[in-house]
Amino acid sequence: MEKSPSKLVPALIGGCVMGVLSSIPYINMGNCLCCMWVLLGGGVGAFFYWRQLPPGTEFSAGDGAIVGLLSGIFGALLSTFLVSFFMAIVGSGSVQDFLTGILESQSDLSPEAEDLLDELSDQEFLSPIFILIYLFFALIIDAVFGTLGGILGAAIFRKRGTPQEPTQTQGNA
Amino acid sequence: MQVMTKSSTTGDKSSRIDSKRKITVYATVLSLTLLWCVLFMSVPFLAEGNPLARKLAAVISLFFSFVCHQAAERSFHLMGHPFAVCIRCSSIYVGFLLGVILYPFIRNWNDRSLPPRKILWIGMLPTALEMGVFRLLLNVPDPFFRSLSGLILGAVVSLYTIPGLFSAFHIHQSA
Repeated sequence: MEKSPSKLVPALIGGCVMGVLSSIPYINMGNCLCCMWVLLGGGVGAFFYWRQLPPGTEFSAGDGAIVGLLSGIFGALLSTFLVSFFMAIVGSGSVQDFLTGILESQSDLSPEAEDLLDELSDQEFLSPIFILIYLFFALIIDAVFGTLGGILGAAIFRKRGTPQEPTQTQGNA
Repeated sequence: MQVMTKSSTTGDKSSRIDSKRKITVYATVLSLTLLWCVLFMSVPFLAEGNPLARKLAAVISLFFSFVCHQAAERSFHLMGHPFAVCIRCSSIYVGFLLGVILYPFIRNWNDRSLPPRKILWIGMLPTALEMGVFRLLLNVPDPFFRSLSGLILGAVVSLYTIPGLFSAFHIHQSA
């Protein structure tokens, strides 16, 4: 029985794509378009996994999902690190602008919500609390959308004529 | 004969385990998708509530700011407050939820293969058209087409997600 290729390296590549694109100021706005960079990272991971497969080997959606999930976890860790790095270099002005943008877009936001955003805006953004909150949110979002990206990648990259998974037709549930 | 009986018993047992696992995966996906939709739709209601609820609304808005531009003029409003995500994102998520709910009726529950690739392209087409034609070329905001295209995209993606997750959890047998 042939051993399946490692998922770690493709996931690291996908995670790097996801993490870098999600953290560079302005380019990271692409995530506002249905988490584009996160989906792309999961898809890139799936693509590199597919390239490692021997010819004629089936690329199952499950493998795509696992590669996408791992890419999401790596991407979240990398983007948290890079966001902290960029904030250390350029300052937290861009984050404050972003929060102000949210505040302005939510024109009818309650005074309490405005206070919360004001409190956040006054925070030191390189504080461990901010980094932990960012990491927590990024882990949830990147894991969910990275998995989706991996599954869609598996759906796109499977070869024509590649043996499909056996279809069971014993009736609906 | 004894060997056959033993193997069919093992097959039944494995099939039962698979069936349970499949239901667990499906129920988890359904619950999480429902939670996701309730979260972004709850913001207008929470914004009308007590101070704690309003703070919660702000935290939820902050969470969804990771995935959406949240422009108020391009979002659905309830009671004067926008949802936590824009019209397109709301429609994609609701479409995904509908797809998950209807999945057992649309596809063979025991089929864990992915649908053909062309269905994915067809599902993406309305959103690509809406973004390309209405948004970039004509610059005419069309909330109806935006929601419709988002609903289609979300529903189509769910048709790939569920068999993908069944496959990820090594659900092989028919239940």
